[in-house]
Amino acid sequence: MKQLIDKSIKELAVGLRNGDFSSVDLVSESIARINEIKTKTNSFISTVSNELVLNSAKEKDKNIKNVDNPLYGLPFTMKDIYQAKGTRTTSGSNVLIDYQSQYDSTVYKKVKDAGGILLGKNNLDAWGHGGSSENNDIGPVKNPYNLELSAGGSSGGPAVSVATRCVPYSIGEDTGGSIRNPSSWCGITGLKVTYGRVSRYGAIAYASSFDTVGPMAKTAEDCAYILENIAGYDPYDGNTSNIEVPKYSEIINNKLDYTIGVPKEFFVKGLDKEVETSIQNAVKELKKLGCKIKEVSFPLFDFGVALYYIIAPSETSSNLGRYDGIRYGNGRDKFTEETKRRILIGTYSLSSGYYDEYYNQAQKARTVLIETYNNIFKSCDAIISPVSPTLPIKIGELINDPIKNYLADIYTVTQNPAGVPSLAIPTGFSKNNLPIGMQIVGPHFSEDKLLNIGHQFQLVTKYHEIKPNI
Amino acid sequence: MTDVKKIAKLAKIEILPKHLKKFSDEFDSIVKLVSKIQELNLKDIKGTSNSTNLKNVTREDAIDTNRILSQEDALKNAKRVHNGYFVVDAILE
Repeated sequence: MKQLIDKSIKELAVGLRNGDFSSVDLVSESIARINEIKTKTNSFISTVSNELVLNSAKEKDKNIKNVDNPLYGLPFTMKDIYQAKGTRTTSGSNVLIDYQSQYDSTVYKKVKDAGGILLGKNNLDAWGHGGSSENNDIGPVKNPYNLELSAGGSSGGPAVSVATRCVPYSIGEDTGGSIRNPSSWCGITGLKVTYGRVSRYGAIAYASSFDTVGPMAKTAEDCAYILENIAGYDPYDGNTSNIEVPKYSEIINNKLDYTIGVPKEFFVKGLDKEVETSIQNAVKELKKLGCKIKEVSFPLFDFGVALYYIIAPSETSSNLGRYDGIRYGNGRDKFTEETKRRILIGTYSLSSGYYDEYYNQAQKARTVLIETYNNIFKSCDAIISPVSPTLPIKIGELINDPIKNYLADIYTVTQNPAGVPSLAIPTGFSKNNLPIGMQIVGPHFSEDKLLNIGHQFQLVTKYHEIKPNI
Repeated sequence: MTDVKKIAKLAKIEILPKHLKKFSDEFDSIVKLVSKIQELNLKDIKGTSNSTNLKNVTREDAIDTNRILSQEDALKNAKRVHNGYFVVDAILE
């Protein structure tokens, strides 16, 4: 079925201003679609009342001709970790199941000020702890291409909302693949930004030195428009950068003249054959578009999971120390098993006697990891990587096997410790009609190049236009 | 086998006796997985805690009234309040 929300952000912005349709039409379509999808896929934790969102849309329709911002009057959703005053923010956990936000996160404030209309908040792995959106107290998020499979995680709900055209875009969060993995498994485009490109103020923290806030949408072009609105310095997040926010939506139109590295260690046994073939074909497409392709080496690849699963649990054991049930939320007995495991591993690696062997050693490995990226980026503008080693996995398979669960993150856990940005885009479908994606990873603050590559690729491919039949 | 009970106590996490064996086994297999990091020789390397090289970001030590919660808002989510205070269990006997 053809929908208004099949259109790109740019097309929606033009259509609204030409009077082809109204913000009320868009929001009404969103409401109807969310009602159809939410129970089938378990992708929402809460929705904003119809009255509130329709009133907001009516107001936007009155002003639309006076406002240039392409997000003005468009509905959107957020992962349920972002504070928005007047909404419930649960992080997918019974610890915060009745927590009411007391203030606005910076990302929400920016999108709201741009004229975005929040329709609801999406399901996830609690606290971001997982890659399948089933380590939570809400139940698993189901993949819209096959409801027995996982939507990926931890931003599974946002990915489903975009894939099923409930909203034109969603705001996700990525600490070790949480935007990229569900984007890939649901056939959409998601951007993990450079650490500090977008403010984390008002985002519930998982691992503070890895956490990033980013857009999930149908296309790289849409991500460019969103990022222009949400990126930038914020005095409330000491790690945000002063570096100027480029006009991403213009830069993406450049012809491609980049050198793209393909790390040989990434395409080995363990990687699903269909995923490998799809990405190799995408690389050929990039070559046709004018990129030079170069084999490179990423020797630390095998150490990424160990590094990540020391530092991230260490930071989360500290961040989650605040949940004591006194000022807000319920007691620590309400943490899920996976969260308890991560708190225990983190506490262990930070404890005296083990600190040097684990936490300190991992922070040193992080220095070498950053040097590895720096060296590669001396001769390449970006590198190509799979997102997940497999196609979407059956619900229940990862949650019952912690080790398998961690190893599934192998391609997405080396970017966050290094702070580098990565764009996940669709590259095709398996013979069973399941989405496949790849990552384009670049140096710090190269979102402009990554979106440029993604957009030019999407101008000559159609995978991003395909949606699940649900 | 690691003393998971002791670590759980440090982290204020309760593990029911019937779950202890499962938790301990899983814990040991995760520690084995991440111990791979010790294969790297990193003797003279300095650790990194911030990937984008920011150092000593400070702000004025001043009150920002834009992000002060009212007493009512601050207490809104607490399960136990008394006369405008949070209630906590007695620490001293």
